[in-house]
Amino acid sequence: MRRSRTGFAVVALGAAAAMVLTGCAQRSNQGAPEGGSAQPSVGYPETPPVEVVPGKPGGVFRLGITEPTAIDPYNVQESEGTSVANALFTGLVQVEPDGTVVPGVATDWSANDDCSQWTFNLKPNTHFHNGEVVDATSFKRGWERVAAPNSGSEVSYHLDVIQGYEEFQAGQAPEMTGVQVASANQLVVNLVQPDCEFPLRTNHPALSPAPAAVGPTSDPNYTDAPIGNGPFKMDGKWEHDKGIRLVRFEEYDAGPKAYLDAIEFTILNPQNGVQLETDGFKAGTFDWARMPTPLIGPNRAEFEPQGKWLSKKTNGINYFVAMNAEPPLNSPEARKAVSMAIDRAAIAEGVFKGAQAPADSIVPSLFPDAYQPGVCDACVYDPVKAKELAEKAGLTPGTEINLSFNTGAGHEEWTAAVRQQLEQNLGLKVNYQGVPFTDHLNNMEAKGASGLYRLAWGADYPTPGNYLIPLMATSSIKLDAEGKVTGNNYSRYSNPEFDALVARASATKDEAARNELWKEAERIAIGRDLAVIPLFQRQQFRLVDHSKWGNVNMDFNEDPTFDQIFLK
Amino acid sequence: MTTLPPPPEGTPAAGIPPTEPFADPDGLHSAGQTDQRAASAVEGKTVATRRRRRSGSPGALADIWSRYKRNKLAVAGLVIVAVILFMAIFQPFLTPYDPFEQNLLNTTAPPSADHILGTDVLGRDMYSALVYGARLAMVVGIGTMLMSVIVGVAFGALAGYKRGWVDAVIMRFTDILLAFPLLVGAIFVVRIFGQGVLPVVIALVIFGWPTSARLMRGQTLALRESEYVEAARSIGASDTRIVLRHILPNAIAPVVVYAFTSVGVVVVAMASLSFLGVGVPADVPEWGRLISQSYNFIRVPGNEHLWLAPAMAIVITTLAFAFVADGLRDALDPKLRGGN
Repeated sequence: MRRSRTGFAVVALGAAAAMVLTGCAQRSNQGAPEGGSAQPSVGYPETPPVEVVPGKPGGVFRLGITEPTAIDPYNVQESEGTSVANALFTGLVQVEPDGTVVPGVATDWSANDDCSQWTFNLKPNTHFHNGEVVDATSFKRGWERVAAPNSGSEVSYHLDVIQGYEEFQAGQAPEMTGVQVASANQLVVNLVQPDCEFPLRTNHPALSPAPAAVGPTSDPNYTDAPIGNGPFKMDGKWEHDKGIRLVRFEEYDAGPKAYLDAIEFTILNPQNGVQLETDGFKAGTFDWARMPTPLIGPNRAEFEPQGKWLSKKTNGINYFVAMNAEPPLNSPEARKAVSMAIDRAAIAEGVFKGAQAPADSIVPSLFPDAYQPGVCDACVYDPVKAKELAEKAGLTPGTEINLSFNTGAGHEEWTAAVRQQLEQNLGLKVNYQGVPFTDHLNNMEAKGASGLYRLAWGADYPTPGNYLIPLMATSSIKLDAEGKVTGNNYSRYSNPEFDALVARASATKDEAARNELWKEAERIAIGRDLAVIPLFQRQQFRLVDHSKWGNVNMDFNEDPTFDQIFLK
Repeated sequence: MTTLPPPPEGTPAAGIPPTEPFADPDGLHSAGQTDQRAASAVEGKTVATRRRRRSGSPGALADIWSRYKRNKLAVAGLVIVAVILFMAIFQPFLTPYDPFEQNLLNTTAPPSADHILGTDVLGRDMYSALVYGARLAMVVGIGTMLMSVIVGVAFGALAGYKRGWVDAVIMRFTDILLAFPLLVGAIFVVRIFGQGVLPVVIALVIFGWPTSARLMRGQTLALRESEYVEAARSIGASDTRIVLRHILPNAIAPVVVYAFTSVGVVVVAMASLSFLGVGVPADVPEWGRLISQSYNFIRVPGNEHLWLAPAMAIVITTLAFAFVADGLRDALDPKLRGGN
């Protein structure tokens, strides 16, 4: 058996040789294939919104979701929970898919001169699903339930602009003093700082009213079947991992009654839920379906001609956090060099197959009054200019730069493409790293973080300010004692000029004037300084049969507009 | 086993130079043979003995080969392994394109004259990527196997030969490592060391060596009580010599068989780690990565090449090594030895 050593030697030699031998001349793998490129043009067009017309009662609308964190307003966070909660509850105001604010339970609202105090007048005599009347006290009760010290809520920060929130949450005050019940139908809210867009915030499910019969947030019997005041009510309880069924609330009086008899949410496994939605749509068991990215192209080709296609640019931007405080990205030139070395169009076509559109701003086109096409002048692919800027900024070939992404969420491929582009166009040495999301966040927050980190942002409230302030204002860095970032401004961009502009915008009552300020702020932070690097505009695609369902649109949370849909 | 007395502390090597006499048996000597050789092992004949054994080698090898080739699957496996090794070693000369070079203008292209297996989601040539993947798989597979075997054999022999508390400590340690599911343990280790080929090898070695250690220990325990070892000890051979020259060659067969099986396991484990996003960096054309990036395309017609090609590469490689291991087991098993 000594001979087996010879065998090992051969194998070892082979392995060693394999490691020693390195590349040699190979064919070039560049350019479009002969016979023209089969790639789609960048970004699939949006479908125009469906005009809302009067319908007739009837129909059961069925769709798939993944298991929500909560459907009770105290802890509603992701799109799935929001979808259910928005059908169950009607807040003070409502936001249409196009961004216009319309009355909910409130008939009108007004602020004092500096927008630090808001008064909401409520529609008298509207009802909860259990028959109770919705009044100003219901809102105070609902908000305090979320802000209470032991609520277990992860979304109570939506209330942190209200006076008395901190004391109440710390258990030092018996009530949230900033919320005053002036009369049964008048609610007065005092804010810690001026916010002329506060009503938008009240559209979040966390700011829903609660009836006197409300259960504790710790009681699953209640939180799985919350009593709301919305156009739909629970039909039975939330069957975890199975489904949720809602039926029309016949006595709904905060607005027009819904047409649908019922909404059936089927809870799917997140691993393949999106595929199951598509399969279900084709099999006729779902009326609204998402699809895996590679199927977007084939599905569009098949379903758009049949009138079963919905495409919309939505509330979201994929971007690179660019560490402003540390080399090598501590100058606008360096950030612009990196940005201009990235061929967004090629990635959108080649990797996303047209399912994402290159971004040219941080405030997305969803906000037509504040969107400035091309405000990010460095979002254009220009390797020559990129090289010039890089030289100016000292971003010489061989400079090391971190490029980090979170694994398991489909970011592997496009970041690999970015890596190669940075290496080829600027000669950078890219430290390419994929880690689980929590590590990714920790690394970004850590003191001394440098380079590029991929992230996406969707606004909580439909306002441009909810992009600009959290991502780039000095107040959103929130360094803790160890120098860790605890806000959302991971880039650590800090510019007094920008801070003053966004503060002024928040305190400006006139919407048009406010939008001008938002625009000016973005021109500075993105156009001039490129505080973060916008990459791709979020775009969503759905299969839905427009010949069967009327008034189907996608709302701000990417959910169907349940309160308007009707069966044709 | 703790009830057994510890072995005598290092047999004294006084006087008699511990040369060759019994070294070596090809694994199959009977006690009688050993005794004869022992008897003839007087000083001065050492050289002759060595020569005789050397000249006998091809016979034994031929013997193993003659039994190995009876197993047709094993022969097929050997051919495939040879081809994969060839591809791994000469990858730069075999790949028509740089396996890393992306072409975003021509992604997920079906097989064509330019790209015989098509291109992947980043427009890389699939065939080049697969060959590069073969090289990675072999470097990691064989590297891990060699290191696991070296570490495992060393600790296994030490535990089996020394027994007592050394044995207890080493074996409890292997128990702990074996209690981890391979992938979970490997993910844990890779998280500590960071991404890359080397951390993957380290992780797989950490969880790979205990099995060969256990195999080696079992063999050593049996052999250390055998008469030829007793004889070696009686003439003053040192512990090191006894283990290296007398026990190891006779105990290694099951470890070798296991080693070949383990290459397949390692290849799958690395692919799994990369599939889960914790193995090699995401832009390396590794087989598991190639499958992972085409996961979403499984239901998209016309994109079968994206996942089928790397999946087949993994299946073929794993099976080939398993067949070789199977053939080796039969060939090395003395019980199956024909009358020759």
